[in-house]
Amino acid sequence: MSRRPLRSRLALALTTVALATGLVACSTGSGADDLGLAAAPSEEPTEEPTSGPTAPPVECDDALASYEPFETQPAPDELPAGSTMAEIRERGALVVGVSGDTLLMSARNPETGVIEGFDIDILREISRAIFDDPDRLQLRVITSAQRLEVLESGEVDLVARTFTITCTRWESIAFSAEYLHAGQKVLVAEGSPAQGLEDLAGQRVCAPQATTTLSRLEEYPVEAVAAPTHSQCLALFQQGRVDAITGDDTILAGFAAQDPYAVVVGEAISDEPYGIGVPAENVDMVRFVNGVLEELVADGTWQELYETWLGVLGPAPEPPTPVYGREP
Amino acid sequence: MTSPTPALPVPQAPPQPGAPAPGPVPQGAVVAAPQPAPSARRIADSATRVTRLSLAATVACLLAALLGFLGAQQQAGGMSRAADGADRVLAVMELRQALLEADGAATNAFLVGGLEPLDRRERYDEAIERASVLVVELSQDAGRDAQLIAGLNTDLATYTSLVEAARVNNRQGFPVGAAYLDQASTLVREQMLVDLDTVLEMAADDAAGAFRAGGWAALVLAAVVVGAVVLVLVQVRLAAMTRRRLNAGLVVATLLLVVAFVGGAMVSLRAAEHAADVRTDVYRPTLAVAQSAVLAAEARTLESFTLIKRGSGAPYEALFVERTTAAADLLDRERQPGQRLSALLEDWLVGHAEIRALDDGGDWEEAVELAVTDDEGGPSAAYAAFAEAADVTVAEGAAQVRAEVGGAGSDARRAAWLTAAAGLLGAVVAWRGTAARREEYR
Repeated sequence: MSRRPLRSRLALALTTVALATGLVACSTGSGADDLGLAAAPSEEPTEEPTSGPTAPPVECDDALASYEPFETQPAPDELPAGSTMAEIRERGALVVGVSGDTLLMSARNPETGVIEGFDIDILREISRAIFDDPDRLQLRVITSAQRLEVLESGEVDLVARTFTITCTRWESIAFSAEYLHAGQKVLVAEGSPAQGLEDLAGQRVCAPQATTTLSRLEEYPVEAVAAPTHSQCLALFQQGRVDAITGDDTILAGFAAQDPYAVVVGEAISDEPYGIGVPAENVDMVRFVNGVLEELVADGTWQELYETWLGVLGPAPEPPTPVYGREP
Repeated sequence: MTSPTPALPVPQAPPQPGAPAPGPVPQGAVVAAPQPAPSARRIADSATRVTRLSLAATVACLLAALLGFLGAQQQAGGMSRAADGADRVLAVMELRQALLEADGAATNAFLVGGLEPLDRRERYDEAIERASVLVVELSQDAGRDAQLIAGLNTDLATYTSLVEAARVNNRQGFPVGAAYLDQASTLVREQMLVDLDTVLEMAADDAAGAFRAGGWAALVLAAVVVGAVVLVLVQVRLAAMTRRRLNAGLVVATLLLVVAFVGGAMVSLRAAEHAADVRTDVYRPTLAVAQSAVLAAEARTLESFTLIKRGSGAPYEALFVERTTAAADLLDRERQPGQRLSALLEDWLVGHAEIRALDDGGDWEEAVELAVTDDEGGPSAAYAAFAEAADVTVAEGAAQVRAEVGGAGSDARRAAWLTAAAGLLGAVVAWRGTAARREEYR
């Protein structure tokens, strides 16, 4: 036997081994393969628009001026044909944007699950005026930041959510006449010497995103902290992550009622005239709502509601005097 | 066998490849130059050659023993790491699901309003307890994910305290309770689940790496086959030199390597194949089911949010659809347990569609009523049925992975010892079997 065939034999054997090696069930693939991962990364809904400070405020002289009520307020069964109100009645429900967590104004009662408060009761009266039934409300819980967009898109008929009437907002929506007058104040921990925002230099003050409340903080030497909702501010305050909360006295009163160690201090630093938001094109609806508001004041319902919900702020003041004269 | 090689004059063959192969050196030396005392020289050469051949045979056996042993041991170690890794992957998934279940129970209880129903409270407590145990378990053999798991431990404590704050406030009728619940849920979704995803990827990669240890079977095979080939070659050369047909020692050594081939290399190969099959046929389907259960648990929380965000839940519904579609796709891919689970998932989705129809139709109260009822035939019961069935499937799958991959590991370990024993014995027999031939040339 010569060397050659031997060598070939060895080569053949090695080839066989190499082949076998290739055939070995070598389990390949990464962890991601095992997990079958090809799915899209999960994303949570960004429910808040991430808009920074909005465009400079529009100036005007007559922010409070709304559309005059009808000469005679139509009864529920006599709504003018083709009007927004008739459409709503036809539909069977008044769709409204409200808060779910602004105690006293519009908050879900954890005991019953029912959303209740001053704003809700005003809306119930409007429902009564359309349907002769206060319970035809279809509530949509929205954040402060969503107030304009749900009106602009026509998703809701009305927004009653501690909604300050401003010239800027009149640019894209319409408001009823003022139905409640609030003012921005500060909530601090009990025992704090601070009597207002000017005493809180360098401290962290919380306000909800996209509100007039937050933009006003820029005028003070404080560190503004924006939260998705006003109630989140209270949670942050209780966790010591902010030193104070600023907001309308109506809202802060609701916070003080939830926390015995929180007090509302000082004089109001602003006037916050609340109006009911209406899509800009529904002028008839604005007139109709203004008619309802006048009736509520006239028959004493307004005072009654104030005392029921906002009695903690003191005795009921005079209801705001409606201003009209705006032309569509 | 490849005979038609040109019949060259014998000399100047290129150097032989392979280390311990019998060297052709002596022959080359013979032709190289006229030697002064050819016969004495020749005897000395032959002695060296015989010694080299027997050394080659012995070393081949030793190497087969050593490499076969190491390869199969590596493989066995890999298999047991794969079983552990698979367990860890499933534990991470279980933790994910426990967190989602706790959060789902907490948010769903919030939807009910009033005093938290006892059974939901219990469900929450049970899920949190499971999560705590799992975090501790995961931290015990944490590696590069140790920091993430420590973070999860802290987050879990924060989470439970936020839920407590939500509860205390809720009980007093304070809406700030909802804000705490929101914080808690956000912590789970935006922090804890994200961290867990990273931990999961690490665990899955580790398991995948361990499964790849099946490749060591190739080394076992190569070591034994090369050993046997060398033995055969040595015998052929020795037979040519000594004109004796068979060397008993080498024959026995060869037979021993055949034993190592059958009982070692082949077993090791089969074990590797088996583990690879378990990976594709059991491990992956089990992961798919576990993952679909996790997606469904997440969707369940999202369902509650579509209602809690009363009228503003559209983005949550979009996510619900995304998660449940992904879950259904995963189940569809796995035929075996998938079909039954797909049907159960579908039942729940039908119930969910009813909830959405009510809510979208403006009847929020009725929608909530349907969402929170525990009545048989309700969406909650349908979800529970799916989750339970998925749990059972995952538990069975996990047990099967552990048993079968563990079994493959034991097989590989046995193969390691058998190869080592056969190889060592072969080395001894080969050395001693060639002793007489070495004596002859001394």
